[in-house]
Amino acid sequence: MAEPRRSRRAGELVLEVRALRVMRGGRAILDGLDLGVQRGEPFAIAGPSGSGKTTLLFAVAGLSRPDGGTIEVGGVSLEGLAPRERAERVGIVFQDYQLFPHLTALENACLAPRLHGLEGYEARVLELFEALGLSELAHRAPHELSGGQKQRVAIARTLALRPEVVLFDEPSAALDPQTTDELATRLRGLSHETQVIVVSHDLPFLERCCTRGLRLEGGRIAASGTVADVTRSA
Amino acid sequence: MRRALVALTWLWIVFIGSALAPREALAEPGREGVLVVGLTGKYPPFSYFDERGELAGFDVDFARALCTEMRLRCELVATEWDSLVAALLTDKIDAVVGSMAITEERSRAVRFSVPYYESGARLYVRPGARDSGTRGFTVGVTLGTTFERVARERFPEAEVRIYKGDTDVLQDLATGRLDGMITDELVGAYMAHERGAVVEPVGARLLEERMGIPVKPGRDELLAEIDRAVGALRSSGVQRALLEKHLHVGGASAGAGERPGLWRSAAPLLLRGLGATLFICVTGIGLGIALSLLLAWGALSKGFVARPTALLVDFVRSTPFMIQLFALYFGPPSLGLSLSAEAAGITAIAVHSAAYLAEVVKTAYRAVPDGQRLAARALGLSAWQSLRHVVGPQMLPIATVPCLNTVVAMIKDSAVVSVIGIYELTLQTQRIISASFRPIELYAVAAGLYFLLTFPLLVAGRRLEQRWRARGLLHG
Ligand SMILES: Nc1ncnc2c1ncn2[C@@H]1O[C@H](COP(=O)(O)OP(=O)(O)OP(=O)(O)O)[C@@H](O)[C@H]1O
Ligand SMILES: [Mg+2]
Repeated sequence: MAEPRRSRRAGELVLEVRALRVMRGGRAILDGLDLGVQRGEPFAIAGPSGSGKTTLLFAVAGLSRPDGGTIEVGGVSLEGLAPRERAERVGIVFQDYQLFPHLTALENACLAPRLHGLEGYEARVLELFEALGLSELAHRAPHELSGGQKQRVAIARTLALRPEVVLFDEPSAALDPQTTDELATRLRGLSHETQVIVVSHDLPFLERCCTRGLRLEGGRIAASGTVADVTRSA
Repeated sequence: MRRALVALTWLWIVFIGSALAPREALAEPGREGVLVVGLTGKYPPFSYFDERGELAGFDVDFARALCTEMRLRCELVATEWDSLVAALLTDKIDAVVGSMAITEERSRAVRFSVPYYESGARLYVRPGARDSGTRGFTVGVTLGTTFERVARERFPEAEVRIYKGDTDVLQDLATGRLDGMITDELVGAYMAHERGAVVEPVGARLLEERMGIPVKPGRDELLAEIDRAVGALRSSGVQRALLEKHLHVGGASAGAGERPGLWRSAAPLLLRGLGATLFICVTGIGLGIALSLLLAWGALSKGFVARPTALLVDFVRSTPFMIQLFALYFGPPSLGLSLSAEAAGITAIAVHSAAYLAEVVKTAYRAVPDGQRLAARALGLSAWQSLRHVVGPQMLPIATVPCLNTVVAMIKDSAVVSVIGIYELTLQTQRIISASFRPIELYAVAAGLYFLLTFPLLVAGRRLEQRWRARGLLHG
């Protein structure tokens, strides 16, 4: 059975984080963080190294259990969701991509939808490969791909599950200037089908792909508003 | 590929069949109407394996006559000499008809019957040997025999070497590693006549010996019955006739050159041994693989089982295989649970290989980056799906070669189970050697057969490694 289509109106609150608390080594890395993201353009999360950006993403992606607070996507709390249901609401593209080395590019993208028994996933993945310019590379192993190509496969793998929110951790960190430009354009393009949230300390890059965002410092929100506001105050 | 698998499976079934056919080592004592008799099969002419691989000799015939006299069915079990008493005390066997001299020391552990023959020990030397009174004179005896003490008392200057059986002593005597040996004079006479062995008796009898049939203390009824039967066999002349048959036969099978049938008779025995080795290895290691997954899971778990599991694995890895084997074979009977030799051997191999394989599996699991598990989780895969489709396939290339190395080591170490009387390749080889006295050729063939078993695994490991390296799944 196909997933019922979720309503996707611009402006609605797609991600809402309340009083989020994450402890690491007896220290609160995130301490009572509140955050709301409205559906629309890619959303930027900036901040210096060690400010808690990855910690926040992992909590939202359900990869670590928060020590307090709630996370809601599209009005549904992530707590208590089965792994599969959560993955269909929030996806993440890791900084180092984490492609599965024993599978081809195509198999990487098909694994989860196949295991979850999603109908028509092959067509969906081929479509994604086409859109991401991966059609020629579908049967390559990850170690035969460049960094930028790997990233596109990772994006396809995440989008194959049609998540409402896709998190990107430092997507520009390992790319050359031209590929970074392409990526910025691509992320803007993705916002038609999903809510993109980009974590980065690369401010020019954030300015190119996002319109709104916030800046983390020491586990707290130091500024929020338009990207210009966020980056100017840094 | 599939057809090869089917062929292999058939081959396997045939091997199992041939391995299971001779069940000599599986006798269960204390059964109604059966007497399980232990002996070494390494003490010609009293007990040895003839050229057809059958137990033969005075002790063998006497044991059969004894059983007939007692109206019991005879089951013969060949065990190392130093395990015979342990086998008796753990009820693996009922009695030993193995030329065991009655001594005070042994009488403290077991109950002896009346003597079933008498003899004496003598010193035998090879031509050109050093004088027995001089320093550097080396003399060989069998471990745990009365001859061992005699050697130390009578030849204080000599170096006494201890062997597993007279057959081994003779081999070293023939190669010049030993100057002499102490053994029973009936045995010595037999060697001189039958085998054309290059030994000569020196001096007078070193001691008089009376051979008895020991049973476990407390089995008084059995002992009384044996005493009666021995008396009957001696008074009826059967015992005398058997002694003459085995100790004074004319050159029926004398001379090294008159054994054209060696390979014809040895080949089926060696193949049977190979089949048994294959059977205990595949079964034992197969169980070991299953057990190793359980152990690795335990050791990797975050629960309370982690520490005890890791300790168990370390314990097994840091104790000798042979000790584990003995513990499994001789230990359980004291807890009221008797394992057959094959069951004990297979269990020992399973436990020993599981410990090593668990370590390999654990290392492979840890070698897969945590990011891979996170990625699987982020895609909504369950723990099992993550293991089955993401982590497991990446562990395979990391673990396979070390696993194959462990398997190869285990196949070689499986030779050790010969000590509890499992007729695998090594014991079959030794028993053919005890009848044919051609150790060089037979050990070479045995080595070749082990090589045939293990070498393909090493080659397969190397091939797979190359393939995975080309696919970017192995680094370093
Ligand atoms: N397991 C842990 N134990 C203790 N401290 C931790 C642990 N994991 C992260 N931290 C600390 O939490 C803080 C936030 O880490 P996080 O990885 O979220 O930073 P970040 O903003 O992503 O930094 P970067 O830009 O360098 O990636 C850092 O100070 C880090 O040292
Ligand atoms: Mg980070």
